Amino acid sequence: MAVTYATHEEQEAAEAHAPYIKVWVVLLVLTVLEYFYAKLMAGNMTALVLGLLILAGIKAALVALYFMHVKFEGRWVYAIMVPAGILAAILVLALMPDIGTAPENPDVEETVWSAPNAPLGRDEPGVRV
Amino acid sequence: MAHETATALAPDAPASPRSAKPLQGHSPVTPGKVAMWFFLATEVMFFTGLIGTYIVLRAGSPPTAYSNLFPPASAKAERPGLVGLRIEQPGDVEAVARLIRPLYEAHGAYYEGHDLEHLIEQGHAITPGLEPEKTEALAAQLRSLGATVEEESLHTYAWPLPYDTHTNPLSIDLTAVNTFILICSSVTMVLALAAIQRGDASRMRLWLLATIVIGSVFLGVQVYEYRELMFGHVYPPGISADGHFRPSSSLFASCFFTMTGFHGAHVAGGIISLLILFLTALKPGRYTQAHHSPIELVGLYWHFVDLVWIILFTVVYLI
Amino acid sequence: MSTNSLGSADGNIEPVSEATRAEARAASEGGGHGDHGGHGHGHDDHVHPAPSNFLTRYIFSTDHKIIGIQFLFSGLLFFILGGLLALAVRWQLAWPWSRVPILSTIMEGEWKTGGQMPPEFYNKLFTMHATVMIFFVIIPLLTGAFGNFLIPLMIGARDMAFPKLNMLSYWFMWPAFILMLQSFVVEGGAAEAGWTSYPLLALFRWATPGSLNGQTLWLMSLLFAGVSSMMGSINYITTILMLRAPGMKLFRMPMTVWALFITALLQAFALPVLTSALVMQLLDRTVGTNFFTPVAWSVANQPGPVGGGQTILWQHLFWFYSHPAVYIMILPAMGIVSDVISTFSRKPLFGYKPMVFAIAGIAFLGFIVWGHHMFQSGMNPALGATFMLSTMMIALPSAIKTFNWIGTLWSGSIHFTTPMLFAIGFVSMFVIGGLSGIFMAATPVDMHIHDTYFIVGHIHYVLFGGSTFGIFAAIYYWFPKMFGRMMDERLGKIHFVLTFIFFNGTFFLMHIIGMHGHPRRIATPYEYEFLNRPGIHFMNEFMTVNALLLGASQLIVVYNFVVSLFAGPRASENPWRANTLEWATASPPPHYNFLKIPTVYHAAYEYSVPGVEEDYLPQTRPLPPASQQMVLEPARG
Repeated sequence: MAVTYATHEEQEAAEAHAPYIKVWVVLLVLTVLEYFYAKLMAGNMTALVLGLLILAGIKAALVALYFMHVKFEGRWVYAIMVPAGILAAILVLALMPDIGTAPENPDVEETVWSAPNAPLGRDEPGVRV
Repeated sequence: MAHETATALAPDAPASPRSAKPLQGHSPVTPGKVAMWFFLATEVMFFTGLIGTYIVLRAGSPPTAYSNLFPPASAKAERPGLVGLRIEQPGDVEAVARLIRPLYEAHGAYYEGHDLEHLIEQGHAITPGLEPEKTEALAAQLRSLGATVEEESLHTYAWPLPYDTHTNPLSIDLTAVNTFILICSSVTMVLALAAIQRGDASRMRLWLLATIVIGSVFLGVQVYEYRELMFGHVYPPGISADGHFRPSSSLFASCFFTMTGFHGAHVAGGIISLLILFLTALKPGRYTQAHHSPIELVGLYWHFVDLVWIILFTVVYLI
Repeated sequence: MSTNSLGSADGNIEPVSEATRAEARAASEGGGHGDHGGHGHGHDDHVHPAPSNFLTRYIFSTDHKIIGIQFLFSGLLFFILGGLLALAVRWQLAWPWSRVPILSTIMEGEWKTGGQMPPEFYNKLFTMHATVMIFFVIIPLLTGAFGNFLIPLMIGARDMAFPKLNMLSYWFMWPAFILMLQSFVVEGGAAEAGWTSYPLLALFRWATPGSLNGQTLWLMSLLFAGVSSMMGSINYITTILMLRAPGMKLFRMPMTVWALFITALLQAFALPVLTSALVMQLLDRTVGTNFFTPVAWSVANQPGPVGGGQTILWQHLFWFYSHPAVYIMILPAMGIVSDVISTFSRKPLFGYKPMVFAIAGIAFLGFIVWGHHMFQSGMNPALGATFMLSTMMIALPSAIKTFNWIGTLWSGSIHFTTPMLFAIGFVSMFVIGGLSGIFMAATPVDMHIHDTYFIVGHIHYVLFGGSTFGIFAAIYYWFPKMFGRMMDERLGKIHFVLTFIFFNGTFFLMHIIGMHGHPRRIATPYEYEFLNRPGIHFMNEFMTVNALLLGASQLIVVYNFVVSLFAGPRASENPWRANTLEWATASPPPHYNFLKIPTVYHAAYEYSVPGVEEDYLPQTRPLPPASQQMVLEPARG
């Protein structure tokens, strides 16, 4: 990703004249695209999530590369942010089995025995198995 | 600090990343930038705590947690086949309210003041789900009070869907516009930096001011949105048991307010920093082509906050 | 958080001006290796005198040395408080429901029990003992006091990268101190849900007296402490990466700096997750959000929240930080001990690079083992097996470190000074604490011993026998550098011997009663038939007597510290004949640390180099040409 310039001055000049307006227009177009995509795909959850996450990812990448100058920095920025991203992913993935799995059967009696983390004894305060 | 940063350029010092980098042609690595990027990494972890919590709680939400007829997390929504009544034309509002209020209260939905009357007048009132035969009796009673009603069967959801006015109070239209606004503030910020990199201090001041104004508009819209959700509107029971969307209303509300609230706090922090930059920039010669790293660092933070919003807008509002 | 760091960074974040850069480059081209005159232009021209104003010099100081000493003093004061809380816990376990000396007299009016400690007060005691010791003593002493004092000195910098941020990081501890102390006197008293603050006990205001108000203050206090640590860690990382003296390559840094660097990385990546969890629990308690409350729960017939959250979520988020925090508390001590052992064995540290990689390995693994605190919490068993495996893997880098310390000692010319005694004490006690840790990594074993005194014994072998011995070693080792005076060696040795004996007397038996099933965190263990036996009674009494003597032995170090501070013999520049850079300047170092920024020629462990007259070779002196080849050999007898 990182682009190398021959001199510091050249690189400063590249930063000062980066295509910010173009990036801005692309970001706005993507936002409009997201808006209508969400409206069209409202029924289909898988397509909705996948499509929107891709669009949001492109937007985030554009902001980081151009506005945050990651494109012009050395690789050290990746050395900081990639571990953070990996740890973030580990945390969320490790939370999934315990918290992120919906109880399959909403029936209270059965839930108690099949999924230890399912809400118990609803609507009856203090009832615990 | 300039004197300290020069150290590693002295003999025997190829170890320091900074000493080698400018010669290769990347942006120079300064302590400020290193610290700011590490700070942003900590922010990534902080928002991971909040957004990750939202993702897993949402994924693990039981399929009957939200419904069109009952308040959030009500066990009553687990019984299939119930039917509610949408009151389209209220007729005698007072009498209708008197009739259906006990029904709501039996299901844990307590409306304060004239909230229930407002709900009925706006045509958003839906009675809690009942057995079909009881619903018919209720419909007859309501019709005798001059109301027109429509039967509505129970639909349950694990999480409120976007655009579903029974369970989701968020306005995507308003927030799409607001997202637009925040992206604009990001480009004005980067233009301020580009201006000072060319040595144009007066243009930089203008762009800084524009960023402050646009950022404040974003924050203003968010405050307006919060006010409408928490106090301005009365919502049907599927959104909140008391008709107002507040952090305590449901798990969805808790996640929404915590994530957007902390984002808003970060925007507010950014605006304060920008204001300080702008005021110091009024002094001629404070920031120059050779010396403008505070602009760059606050800019990094500001774009990061923008980036977080791009993700929040997608995962909280659109999905 | 953001505004503070940004605001304070303002003015310190100027980039290197082109002029300075060019000059420095020219100097680097012109100057030879031994030539000190040519380089470091920026440094030597900018030596600032210390501020003459008392307030800015000693109170709101931006000097890393003063800030380090501030952390040292506040940490040691809280050490006394935390120790007294622990003694009260021990008293109840040995002689349950009897009058506690002094405490009962003070609390008579509050308790209204004729001097008997109420069970909820016992809960407060162990909760606050752990909180104070972890967040206000060990972490601030290791990273705050020694991190601040040592990092710039050991890498040859004039100060931290952001001195004002550094000052803020100390002063953000004060709201934390005040809120935590205030929580003792609010209605219901201090938090009593354990230092882990698990919901639901911590969540519902009426669940227990300490959850009425004390828990809210506890959360706010830790938020402040967290912000302070964040500021500190970002500052340390930047300083170590950017401000090293010429020649101080990464792999020439002393182990102490390496350990503090990796500790700072751990804090930077783990702490924000705790911050988010604290914020969510605070919101659950104050504005009624539903993150950690299950559906339809209520306590004491209070209207319950809507719910929908998960209690185990808190445990995951909490341990995602608090397990790395265990390494935050031990890694700096490991670094300190490495330096002390090498210095007093007059031998290079055995396996310097493996030591660095071992620390990095422990730190990385530390991020993926947090679930071993939750084997009993109803965690998904598949997840549990993963955490068990990763936990056992931590034994590998830990063993590398232990063997390397022993390898360093092996056939060294060992000088049994007080810091060395504490360092050897660290190594031996860490072995016991580390091995008992491997037992508990195994899920089935942990099922039996998790909530027993076995685990209390384990953590104290690591945190007292480990971290605290490391802190004592550091205090005795760097006291001359900090205050310019020597501590009394004879008193120091007596202190070590008594501490070592009574420490083992206090904590070793915990393993035995733990295996017997003695539960932790319970004021009335003798209610259980299987514990109400003379053997258990005797062991508890024995441990308490030892704990009281352990506490009393610390009076020796207090006396030694205070008297040496004012009347100790003057310390020379390098009393231990050590190699690292902090010994290359005056004791105490001047405000600007170094008159000339030193140039570094080799790693910190060149002791007994053949061809050098003395048995040490400071990093500022080049190696003799003849010994160049020899130095590369790792183990030189």
